[in-house]
Amino acid sequence: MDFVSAPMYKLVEVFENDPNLVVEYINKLYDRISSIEDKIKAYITLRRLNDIISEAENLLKIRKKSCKKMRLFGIAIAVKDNISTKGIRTTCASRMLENYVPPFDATVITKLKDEGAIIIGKTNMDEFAMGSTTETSAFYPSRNPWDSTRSPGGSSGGSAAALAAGEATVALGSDTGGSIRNPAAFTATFGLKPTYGLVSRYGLIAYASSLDQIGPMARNSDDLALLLNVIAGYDSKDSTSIDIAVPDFYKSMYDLFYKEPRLRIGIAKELFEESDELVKKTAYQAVDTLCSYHECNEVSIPYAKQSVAAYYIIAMAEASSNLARYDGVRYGLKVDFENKSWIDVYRDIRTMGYGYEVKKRVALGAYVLSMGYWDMYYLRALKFRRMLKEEFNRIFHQYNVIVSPTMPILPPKLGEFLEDPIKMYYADVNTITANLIGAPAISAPAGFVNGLPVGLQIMARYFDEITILYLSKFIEESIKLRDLIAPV
Amino acid sequence: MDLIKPEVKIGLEIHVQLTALKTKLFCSTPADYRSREPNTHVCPVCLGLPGTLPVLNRKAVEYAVAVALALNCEMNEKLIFVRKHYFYPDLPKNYQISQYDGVGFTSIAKNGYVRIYIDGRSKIIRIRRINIEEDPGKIQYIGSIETSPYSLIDYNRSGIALLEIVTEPDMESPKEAKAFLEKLIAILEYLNITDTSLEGAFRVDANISIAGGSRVEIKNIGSIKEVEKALTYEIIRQKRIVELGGEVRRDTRHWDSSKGVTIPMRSKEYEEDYRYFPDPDLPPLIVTKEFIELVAKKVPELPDERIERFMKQYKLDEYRASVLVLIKWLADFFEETAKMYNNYKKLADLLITDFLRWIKEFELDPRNLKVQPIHIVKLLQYLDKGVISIKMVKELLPKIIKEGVDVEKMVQEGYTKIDEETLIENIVREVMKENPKAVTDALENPKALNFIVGMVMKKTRGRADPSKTVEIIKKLLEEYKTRS
Amino acid sequence: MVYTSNDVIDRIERLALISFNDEERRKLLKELEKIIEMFNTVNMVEELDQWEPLYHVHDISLSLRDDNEVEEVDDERTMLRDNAILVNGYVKAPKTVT
Repeated sequence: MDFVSAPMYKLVEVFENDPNLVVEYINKLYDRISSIEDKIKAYITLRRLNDIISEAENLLKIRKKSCKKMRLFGIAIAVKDNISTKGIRTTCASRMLENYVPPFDATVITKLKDEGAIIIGKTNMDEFAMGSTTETSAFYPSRNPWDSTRSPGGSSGGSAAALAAGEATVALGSDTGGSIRNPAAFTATFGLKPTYGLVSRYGLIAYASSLDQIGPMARNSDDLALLLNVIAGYDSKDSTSIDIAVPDFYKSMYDLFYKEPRLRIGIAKELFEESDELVKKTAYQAVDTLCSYHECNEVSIPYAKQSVAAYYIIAMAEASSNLARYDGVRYGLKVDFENKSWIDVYRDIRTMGYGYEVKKRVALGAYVLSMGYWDMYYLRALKFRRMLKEEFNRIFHQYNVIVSPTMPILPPKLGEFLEDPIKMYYADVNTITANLIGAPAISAPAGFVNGLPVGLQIMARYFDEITILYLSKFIEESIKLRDLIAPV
Repeated sequence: MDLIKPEVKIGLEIHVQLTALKTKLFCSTPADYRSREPNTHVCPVCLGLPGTLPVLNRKAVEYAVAVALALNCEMNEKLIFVRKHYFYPDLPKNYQISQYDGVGFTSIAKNGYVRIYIDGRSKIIRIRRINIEEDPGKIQYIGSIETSPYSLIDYNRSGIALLEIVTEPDMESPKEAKAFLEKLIAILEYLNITDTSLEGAFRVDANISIAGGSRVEIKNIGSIKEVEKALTYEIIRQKRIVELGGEVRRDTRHWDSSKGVTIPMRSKEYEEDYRYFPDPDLPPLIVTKEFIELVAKKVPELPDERIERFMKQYKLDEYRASVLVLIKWLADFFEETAKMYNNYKKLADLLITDFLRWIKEFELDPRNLKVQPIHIVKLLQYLDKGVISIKMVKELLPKIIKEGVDVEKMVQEGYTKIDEETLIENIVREVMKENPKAVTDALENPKALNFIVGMVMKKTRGRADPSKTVEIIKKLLEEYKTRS
Repeated sequence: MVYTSNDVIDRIERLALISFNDEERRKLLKELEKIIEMFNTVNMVEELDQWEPLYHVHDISLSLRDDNEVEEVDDERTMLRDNAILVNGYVKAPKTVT
C-alpha cells in the first residue's frame, strides 16, 4: 500500500486490522516530506520524527489497554498555524507570535487527539489569515505543488499544499472569506467551510470572529466527512457555538449517495459570468455532471461586488479589535523596554511584529470603527449583511444549493497579487458570501486548465453539510478527480 | 462670604465587584483573588491568550438583575456586550467587555432611582444606568510610579465581575453624595451580592460642577469618607477659581487622600476613541420575564421596605428607622433584641448612640460579637426596674460589649444603685471633710458643686444616684452655711 | 472626491498604535483611495437604512455558565511561564508613565 497517497478512510481500516503499521506509515510520510518540503514550504513547524514515533507508540499502548474505538487512530494531520496546539509553537505566520507556545489545545485539537490522530506539524498561512495566496506569511510563501511558480492560494495555503504534495493525509484549515475553499480550488483538493457555529472556535486565533470557522481539508469527500465528524459539535467554551444534534456526516453522506435524491441546484449567474473564460469552462464541466441528473437553473446573485466591500469592512473592523491584544507583554514579540513608556513600546512591537498587509487591515479596521465613521461604514456593512442573509434565505427556499466556480481565476503567479491588492480583494467575490451569511460551502476539484486546478464551489443552507458532501461525492464519482497528488 | 450660592451638581459612577460570585465574569477561574500569589488565579481566557473566548456567568446576570430591581430600574430585554478599546498593560485584550448606552446598544437596566433621607426630608437620586463589565488586572511599581523603570502586572483580578452604577447629577452637596452611597451600599449588602469592605471592591468616580460650569471628574476614590472629603475640597477649589474671575476647565483629576487635594491626571497621548462595537463572541442575551421573576422572588427585604416596616412595626420615626436599617447588622441586632424587649424607642436610641460608638471604638467585627441581644435586654430591664442608673448603663455597656459579660452577674457583684440617703450622706460628708477648699468654692459658686459630685461618684465608682447626690450635697452645704 | 491624506494615516496609526514607514506610507496612500472607494460601494446600495444591522449570523440567545469553579489554581504559572517575562511572579511590562 502506498501510505503517502492513501486516503484516510482506507488507512483507518488498515490500522484497525494492524495498528503497528502506523509506524511504517509515519516513516514513509516523513520520507516524502523531507524529499520535497524544500520545494513546497508547506510547513512552518514540523515536529521531529522521533517525537511522532514516540507518540504513535504511546497510542498503540493506549489502544491495547482501552476498548474505546479511536476513529482517527494513527492518522497524520497537518494543522494550520492559527489553531492553538499545546506545547507546539503557534505563530499565525507572524513575527509577532514567532515564538509563542500556547499552554492549551484548541477544542478541535483535543477532539482530534482523543480520536488518536497525530498532529505532525503546523502549516504555513497568510499572516493572521489575512490574504489569499499565503504570500503575506512573515516567513516564506508556500508553493503550489502543481506549479511551483504559483501560489497554492490562501490563507490556508500551507495545509492545501501539504495535501496536494502528499505531505499529510488530511489537514485543518480556517476560513474567514474563503481561506479553505480558495486553496482547495487552487490545489485540486477538497475543503469545507462548515456552517458558522458548527465547529468550535475556541483556540482558533481570531481574525474576524463573526466570520471565522475551522474546517476540514482532504483529498476526497469521504475523508472530509470523517474529519468533520470528529471536529464538529457544540462547545460550551465557545458562546457562538450552536447547540444542535450533530449527525454522522459520513453515514448520512452515503445514505444520500445511495438514495440519490434529485435536488434543485442554482447556478450563480454573475459569479460564472465574471470568471475567467478557462475557469468558467472547466467549472461548467463539473456542473454538467450535476445537471445531467439534478434540476439546474440559473439564479441571480445580488450585490456580489458590494458583498466584497461589506466583507472587508467587517473583517478589518473585527481584525483591528482581535489584534489589539498583541503588545508583547503576556506573550509574543519582545523588545528591551526598561525605562521606556508603554505607548512607545507597544507601538514598536506592533510595528515590528506585523507585516504590511496586517498593519493595513488593522489600521483600516480602527478607522471604520472610529467616531464619525462608524455609522458610515461599519453600521451600514452590518445592515447590508442582514439584507444579504434575507436574500439568500429566499433563494434557499427555491434551491437546495448554489454552485459557482470557487475562484474566478486560475492560481496566480507568486507576486502577482501583491502588486494589486484591490484585485486580490475582489478575487474573493465568489467565496465571501458564505462567510457573510454563515452558510456552509465546499470546494471540490472540477478540472484542470493547462495543468492548473479549478474548483467548483457548492453552498447550501445552514447545517446542511450533508447535501454538500453528497453532491461533492456525486461529482467525485463522475469525474474521478480525487486523491490527487501533484508530481513534485 | 458667599455672594453667589453656587449651584452644585454631583453625579457618581460607582464600580462594585460582585464579590459573592465564586468565579470570574467570563471564565471559571476562582474569584477569590485577594492575598493570593500573583498570577495564580488566571486562565487562558482572563489572560486574553490568543484564541480564547468569553462565556458569561449566569449568577452575575442574576445579581445584576437583582440590583436593577432594587434600584427601581427599567430592565432591558436584550443585553448586548460591547468591546471598549484602549491600550493599557493591565487590560489583557486591550479592550474591556462592557455595555454601552448608544444607538442600538443596551445596558442591563436604566432609569431607576434611590431614595435618600437627608436633613429631615426624603430625596430621590436617579440612576441613569447599570452595566456589567470585567475588571482589569492590577499594576504594581518598583518604588514610586514616576521612577519605576517598568511595571509589574498581576492578572488575578483580571476578569472579575463588576457592576457599574451611574447616577444622574442629582446630588447637590457632599453630604447628599455620602447619604446616597451609604444607602446604595446598604442595598447591595441586603442583596448579599458584595462585601464592600473588601479592598478594591468599591470604587467611585465623582463628577462635579458648580454654577452651571464645566464638569470635573475625580477618578477612583476608594471610600465614602474620601468621596465626601474630595468633593468638599473640589467645591472649594472651583469656587475659588470662579471668585477670582476664572473659568473651571473640563478636567479629569485624581484625589490624593494623603495631601487632601485633587490633582490633574496626566493627559493621554493617544486619542481616546473607544471604538465600541458589539462583541461578536457574545450573542445578545434575551432577559426573559421568567428570569426576572425568578430573581425577584429571591430578593430579600430591602432597606426601604425594612425602614417602612420598622416605622410601622416598632413605631419608630423615619430618622431612627433609617439609621438602624442602613447598618444591616445593627438592624438585625435590634430586631433580635426587640423580640424580648418592647420599649423600642429606648432600645433604638441606645443602639444607634453608645452601642454603635463602642463597637466602632473597639473595632469589633459585627459578625463576631461577644455581646448578644439578651445582654442588652437584661441591661435595659435593670434600668427600667431602677436597679441601675443611666450613668451605670453607660459605664457597664463597654464591658458588656467587649466581653459579653452578663449584667445580672455584674449586679450581683454589687453594681447596684446606691440609693440609701444615709449611705450617700456619709460619703458626701467624707468628701467634704477631705476637700475643704471645694466646700468653700461651692458655697461661693454653685457650679463648683459638680466637683464634689464628681468626688462622690469616684468614691462610689459611679453607683451613687446623681440627683440624690446633688440633693444631699445642697442640703449639707446649707448646713455649713448656717453653721458658719 | 475621496478624502485621503497623511492626516488619515496619522490618525489610524494613533488609533491602532502602529507605525508605517515611508515606503509603506507611499504604498498605503495609493491603496487607500481605492479601498475607500470600494467601501463606499456599500453605501450606494438602495434602501439600506430600512434594515437592522446584523451582529450575529444566527438568532440565538447567549448561553450562560454556572458559577462553579473549574480551573485549578495556576501555582506553577504555566499559563505565563513560557511566554511572558516574570519577576517574582508578576508579569513584567513597560512603565505606565509617559
